[in-house]
Amino acid sequence: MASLADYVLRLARDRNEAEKFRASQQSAKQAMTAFGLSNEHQEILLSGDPNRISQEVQKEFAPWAHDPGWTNTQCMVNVPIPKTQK
Amino acid sequence: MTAGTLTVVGTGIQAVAQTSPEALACIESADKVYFVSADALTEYWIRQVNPSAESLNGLYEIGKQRSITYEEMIDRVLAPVASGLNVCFVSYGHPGVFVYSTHEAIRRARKAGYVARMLPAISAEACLFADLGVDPSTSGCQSYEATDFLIYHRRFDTHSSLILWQIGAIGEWSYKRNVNAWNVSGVRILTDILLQHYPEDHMVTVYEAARYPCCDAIILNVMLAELPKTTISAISTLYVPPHGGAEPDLAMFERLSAADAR
Repeated sequence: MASLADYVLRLARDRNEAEKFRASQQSAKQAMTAFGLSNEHQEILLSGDPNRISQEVQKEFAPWAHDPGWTNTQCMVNVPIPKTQK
Repeated sequence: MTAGTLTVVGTGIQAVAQTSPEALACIESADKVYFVSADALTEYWIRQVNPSAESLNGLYEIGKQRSITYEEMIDRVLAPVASGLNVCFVSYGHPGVFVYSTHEAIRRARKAGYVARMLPAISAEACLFADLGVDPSTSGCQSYEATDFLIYHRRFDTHSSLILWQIGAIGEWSYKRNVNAWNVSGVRILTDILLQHYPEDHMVTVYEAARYPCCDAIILNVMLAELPKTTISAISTLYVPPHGGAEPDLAMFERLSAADAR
């Protein structure tokens, strides 16, 4: 089966592929099938749920893929750090 | 030995697709790339573009204060600059928006005498303007990190747009992996404060920019009073539109007109 990550990467870099995906569900299914994506991966992409897509892509790369950094938040409130933790 | 350099770039909010050609060229040509990615896809792509790429995401640890992680990132990025390498530090979104480590790395590199610069990129705010059809020139736009907004009692104008960032992570100082709302009680407190200034039925928007080309932005329009019951994640942003119109200062208008006539 083809890699989900490679297909999403293709969508990100190829405007025509992205247009095909967005045109209609049928068009998206045809494009994904032609690429060789499994039915499970097709369903995940069609769900449009970014968290599911992230989890599934990450599975393909385990163990080297890292936890998403975006769950880190940047608060600029100046909180003193205890010296023992430095 | 040649002098090292530091270039800080961003990959935008939507994985890969929002990286500018200028940023891509920097990633490709760097001697050493460090990155903090928002998703495994971007990590996969950056490693393809430049095999020297090394993730800094591993420096985050559950329960570890983020300020410590940021210091470690800065040290890691600056070490090869001092060794004479051209380093590219990649972050998601805009590298200068809500990112302490990138700004600080540039400050320290320059202080040490190295050439350091930051390239602009697509931020969540840029996506919000596009997706919600908000033009900051219409009534102005105020933008605060939500915890900062509450702790410092930021003064704001209800006649102007208000954007509050990280409403799902109010009062959270450490790193957690859960994408779902981290601090529901924080959202309740924020709502209480906003209700002192806006009516209960004032419509607000909980927003998340699209993260993949096959996804839409998440746009939830709710009454302010209902905000604590809304699905909020760690990356949700709150957009509060202006309430009513501001009264123009006619005396100032005349003063400006007179100045123009001179």
